[in-house]
Amino acid sequence: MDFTVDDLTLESSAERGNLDTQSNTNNIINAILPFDTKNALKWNASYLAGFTSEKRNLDVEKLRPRLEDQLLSIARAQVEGSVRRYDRGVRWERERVDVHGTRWVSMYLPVWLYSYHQPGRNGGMLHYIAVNGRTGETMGSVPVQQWKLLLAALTTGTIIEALVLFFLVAAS
Amino acid sequence: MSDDSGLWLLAAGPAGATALYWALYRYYRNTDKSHAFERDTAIEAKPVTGSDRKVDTVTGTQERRIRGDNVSAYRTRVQRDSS
Repeated sequence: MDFTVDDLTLESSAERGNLDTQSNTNNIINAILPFDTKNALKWNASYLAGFTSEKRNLDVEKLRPRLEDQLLSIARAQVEGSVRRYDRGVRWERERVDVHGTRWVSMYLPVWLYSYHQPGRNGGMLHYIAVNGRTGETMGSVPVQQWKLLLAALTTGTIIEALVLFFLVAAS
Repeated sequence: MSDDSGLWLLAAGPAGATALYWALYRYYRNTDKSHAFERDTAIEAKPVTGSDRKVDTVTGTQERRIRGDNVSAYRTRVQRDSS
């Protein structure tokens, strides 16, 4: 299949582009995409007065693997509708993408960030609450206390188990 | 279903606990969220072309889905053919 995508936003900072949810919460900032990139203005240094900005430290070639990965995901999403008639599902085994042409634009995008540092192993975890500066879309990560989570899960599990035992004894 | 006297119900407690744990974790940490670029970008696609070739027949299967069904797992990469 052939398709054109307009447009994909990729983080051009190596740190921000790392979306490993085990070690950081950058996926929170990624999740407030997309921006209305069509309304972008020509660069002017005075726009950044009073704001901090991320530095672009990746060039196009470094971003290409992520681009191709996202294009493959888009292709797979696009073909889903056409394989519905295989009503027992489809197992994709091989895939391939040929990029025929790209146009790259570097852009500063406004994000409101609130951060909270959770102490812990390996320097802890920095949690973000991010707001898209254009659309207001918001996403956040809230630190959880492991023991409270476990307590809630175990309590619920015990109650369910007690109900099941009661039911089984009553039924027998 | 009831020929094993409902003992499988005993798994409901651990299953419920695990499910609640992950549900709460994801609710607060949002680790499963990211840019839904498959939907949020403007994509112009030409109709999908292709043809079917029968390679095998499976008879008498009770499975409702093919094994390894990944039709909705867009982001899981499979073997990449080099161009």
